[in-house]
Amino acid sequence: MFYREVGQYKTSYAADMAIFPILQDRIALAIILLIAFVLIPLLGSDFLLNSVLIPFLIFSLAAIGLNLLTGYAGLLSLGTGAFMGVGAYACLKLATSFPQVNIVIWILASGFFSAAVGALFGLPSLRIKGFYLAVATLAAQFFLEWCFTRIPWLYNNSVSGAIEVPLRTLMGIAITGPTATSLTRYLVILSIVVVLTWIAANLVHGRIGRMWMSVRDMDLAAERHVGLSDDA
Amino acid sequence: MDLLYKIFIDPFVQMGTAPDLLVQTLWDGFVAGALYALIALGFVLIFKASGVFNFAQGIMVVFAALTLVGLHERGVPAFLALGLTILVMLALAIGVERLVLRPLINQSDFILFMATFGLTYFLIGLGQLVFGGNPKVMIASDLYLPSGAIEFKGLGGFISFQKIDIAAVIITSIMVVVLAVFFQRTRIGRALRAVADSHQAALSVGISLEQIWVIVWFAAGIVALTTGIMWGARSQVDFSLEIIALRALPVLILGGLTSIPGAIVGGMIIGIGEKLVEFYWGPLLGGGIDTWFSYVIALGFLVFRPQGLFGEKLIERI
Amino acid sequence: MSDYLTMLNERDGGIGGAKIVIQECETGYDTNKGVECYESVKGRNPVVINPYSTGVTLQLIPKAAVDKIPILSMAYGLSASADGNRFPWVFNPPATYWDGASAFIRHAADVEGGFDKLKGKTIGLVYLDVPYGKEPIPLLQTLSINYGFDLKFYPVPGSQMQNQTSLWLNVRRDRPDWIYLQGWGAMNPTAVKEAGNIGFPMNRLIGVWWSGGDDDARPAGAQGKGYSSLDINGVGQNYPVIQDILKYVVDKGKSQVASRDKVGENLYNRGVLNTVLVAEGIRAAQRLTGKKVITGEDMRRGLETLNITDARWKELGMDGFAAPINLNCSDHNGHHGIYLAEWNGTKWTKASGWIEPMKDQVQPLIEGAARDYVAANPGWPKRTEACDKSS
Repeated sequence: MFYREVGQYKTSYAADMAIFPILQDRIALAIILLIAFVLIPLLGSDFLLNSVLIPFLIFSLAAIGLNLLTGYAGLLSLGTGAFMGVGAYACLKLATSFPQVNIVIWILASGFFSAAVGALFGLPSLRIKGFYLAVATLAAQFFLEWCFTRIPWLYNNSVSGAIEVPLRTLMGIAITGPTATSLTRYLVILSIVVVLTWIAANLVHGRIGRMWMSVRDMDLAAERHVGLSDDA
Repeated sequence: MDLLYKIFIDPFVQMGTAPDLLVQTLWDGFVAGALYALIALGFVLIFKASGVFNFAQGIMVVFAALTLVGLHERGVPAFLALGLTILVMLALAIGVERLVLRPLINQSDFILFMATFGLTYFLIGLGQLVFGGNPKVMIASDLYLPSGAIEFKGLGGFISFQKIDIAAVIITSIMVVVLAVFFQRTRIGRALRAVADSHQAALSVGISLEQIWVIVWFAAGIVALTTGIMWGARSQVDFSLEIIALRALPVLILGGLTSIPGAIVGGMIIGIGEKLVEFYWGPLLGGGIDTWFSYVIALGFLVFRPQGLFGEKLIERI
Repeated sequence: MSDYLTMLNERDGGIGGAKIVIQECETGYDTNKGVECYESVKGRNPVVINPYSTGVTLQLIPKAAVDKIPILSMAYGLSASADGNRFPWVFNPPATYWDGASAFIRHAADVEGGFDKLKGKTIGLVYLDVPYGKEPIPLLQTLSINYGFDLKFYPVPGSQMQNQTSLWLNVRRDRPDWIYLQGWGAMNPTAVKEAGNIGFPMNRLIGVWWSGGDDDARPAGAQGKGYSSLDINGVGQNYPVIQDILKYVVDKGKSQVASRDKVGENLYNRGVLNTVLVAEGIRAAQRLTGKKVITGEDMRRGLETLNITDARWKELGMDGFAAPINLNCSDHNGHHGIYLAEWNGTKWTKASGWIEPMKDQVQPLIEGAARDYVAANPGWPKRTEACDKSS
């Protein structure tokens, strides 16, 4: 669109299959990362960081997850909100039960809990298709919402039922809790989003991504010819 | 042991010792079922004719009710307000067809579904802007809807039948019969069924898709208005009514997305099942389980019939 | 709420000569949005924050000490924040939810003929299933052990606010003798209606002060007559201050109120009470510091030394509107000032004198909860602010 994309030849398979084969794309990516990591912290106000960019990053990450599920694998799901909640509560329980371990590890680990719950609610997709599946995943939404308010163990039996975010540090700097500055939170969240996006992009360009796309396009054929079952 | 007793025996003991409460629960479930069926009908109508899963059905219910009450607040007499609201729903149908459906004619179902998402938030904003966010009282008495209850003493206690509930059941039945006759007997009904079968074939026979879509969204709008009046009369008119539409979704997947009898039967099963379970087994789990239990019921049926009880079987070919 | 402050601006030229600017932000009772609003208004150095939502207040409490902006959560928020020593930046006069629940039990005991008559009775709590709704639970549980009554819980999930038939069927089955309604918004009128439908005696249904709006009782129609709620402010237009508001603000078109007869309704007057507390806090701060334009820290000292006597209420044109309020360094609440209002079918009327909350039951709970809160949040700052004497 902005520049000609032809004329750059590759001499190895690895170079050809790269995610960003075009030089201009790579430069653009570097510029965006520079703006995100350097410029915005220098110039951004508290309000911009807290109320605009942090929610933007968080929702983008959730959207990438949903994109993998619905865009690449073709499985309609309306339960993403509930799964976000599972991740959040898992992190809370892990962080408060094991305060010595660094919280960034727990943030990444809670993804596995979310994945497990997601897989459980995804089981119906073996039989159900289309909008029926979308509504079935809505069951996750309602059931998990009920769990979050009804199971006191999940919110640490707090009298008011509200979550109090504990103070946690990374290398001596506070990153969660009321004393964490928005700048530190922004940088931590940005780093996590960049890493996970990189992983997702690689997944999608690889074998697993191609399997998902074949299930999306024609799952009967995928089952028969590629030799995989609908469990993907 | 105590837990097993509580799950398997106690509820039935309770049913036996307090039969008036059992009948009351069954009646409440029946009424809820009728109302869910009404909401589900709106969804089914649009899905049958245009293949669009109208997420905005819930907010259309709220919007229709708000328009009715809002007009009445500004001094318009009740039945004139009713007529004007019907016209507003027609205008909405035309607007949706022009601005939302036509530009997206050949797109996939999912994109149309997301478009209705957008429509939902647009209507929420518009409703708040025009009518304000305060809850309003439905003008039930002005529309000659009865209030109060009939109490039937007996079976060890009493069973109260709210008159508005009886009216709701009657009106729902009339609506279903009218819609069934409309679909089966009239020319437009035949055209709707043709469009539901295949857009291409219908076009080739000379049926105007645009007209059909306006008609079907208008019909769904009327259903939404009726739903809004009934639900609003039982509690009040405000934006949390929209969430009730989400409660009707298990009805849809249980009965099948394309079937009117399915919406009715599904509504009954979910309505009665939900109330029974919530009343007799709910306290074991701390209450409030009817928000998600209806999905469990629906999912249970889906395992045996993935297209719902009456839905069209998907025939997939490679 | 803004009407009283606008009236002060118009009639008196502000407070002590300084005009007041009000920054509104619609949160839709969404906690996230509330925190967002707070962050965006923080930069303008407000002297006080009124979150009008228990959920938002809970999130803002840790930030108040860091940002040095006092929170006035009048009769809502975290009950434990009445402990001024542990929560120097949070104020919640005139009564906490625990005071309210204890006032309800005291009223029930009065009607039954004594606290000993409560033994063996059943008391139900119908509440919204969010932190706000769960607030009275610890106190009611303590009292149920002390006085021997049976406590039953009826939670209403947020999505079920308008669909309470099963819940009230449960109530019908359990037949509690009294019901305390800790409700919100759309839940209230549905609850009152359903209570009427099952034939529950209306005068045994008592709502907390936020379940006492005119819009909460009106939809129940004739059935709602006799429904009572705890109240902390007077109702009606019969106070000189309300007349002033009508004269300087409403009739001049400077108010956002929907119609003239909404002035004087229960929740309208509650807003007036809230802003009177703000105004008196500002006045106290101005007196303490001698400054005309105060900061958040000054406001904190002003609120902490708040002392509104009956004579002062009369001066303000609000004789009998609210009970005397007296705050100090360790007590940011006052634990006073609740009366019972009864709905007569068209409006709220005063149905009792001032009911004393059970301070001996509530105080240990508040201290315990405050201690637990600090223990659960390591790094909670110890109070370093000095203590002023009230004037």
